[in-house]
Amino acid sequence: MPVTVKLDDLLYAKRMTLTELAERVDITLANLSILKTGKAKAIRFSTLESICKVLECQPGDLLGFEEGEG
Amino acid sequence: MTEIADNRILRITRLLVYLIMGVVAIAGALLAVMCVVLPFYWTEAMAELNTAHPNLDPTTLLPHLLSVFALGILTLGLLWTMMRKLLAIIASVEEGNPFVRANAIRLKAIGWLMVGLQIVGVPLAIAAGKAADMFGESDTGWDLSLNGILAILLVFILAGIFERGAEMREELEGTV
Repeated sequence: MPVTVKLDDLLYAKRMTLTELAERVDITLANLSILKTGKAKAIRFSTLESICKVLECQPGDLLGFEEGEG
Repeated sequence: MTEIADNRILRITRLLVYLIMGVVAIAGALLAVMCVVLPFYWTEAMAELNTAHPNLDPTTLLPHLLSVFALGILTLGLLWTMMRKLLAIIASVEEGNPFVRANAIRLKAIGWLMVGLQIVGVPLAIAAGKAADMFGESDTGWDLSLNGILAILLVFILAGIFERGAEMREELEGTV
């Protein structure tokens, strides 16, 4: 998919594990894992909001667009 | 979802389907036995029938009767398959997971089986009519059933709805 999720980079920058993030944003680890691995088909605004709040970032920091892929 | 799972209509439908399957199985077995046994005991059977219908022609009656039985077995087979698919759909509804591609495929299959039933109904009615004529009765005849055609169309439309439902469900499952 041309839209990429940069959750890994953000977590690394914040020195946070996926499990910690799951606990803080109240999203299941399985769902966050789906998001991290780029297997998600859609993302809710509420999910974006929770992640951005915890990771202190903008939605644009979390998502990227790479043309030509997919 | 629990509301659907507790639905009495589903349970009644399943019971009804089991009942139909039971009747179909018994009728099918009886017809199969008749198909095998009748030719061996034809002279005895004809002797019995001739007392009530002296003008019966045994050489033409047997093929008509056998074709009625064979087409009857085919019809019952189609019905049986249809009921099996319906049971699988009912089970998925009870589980609370009806919008799956398998159900769309099952519904399409049910639609085609219903088309098959309509088609098999034509030679069955003709053969039954010919056999009935020989007994001096002529009440059997095939007529185009509007309800049947409407039911087939509805099933195919439902299959389309389930296909779209399955797509939407898959999308929902991929939503984080």
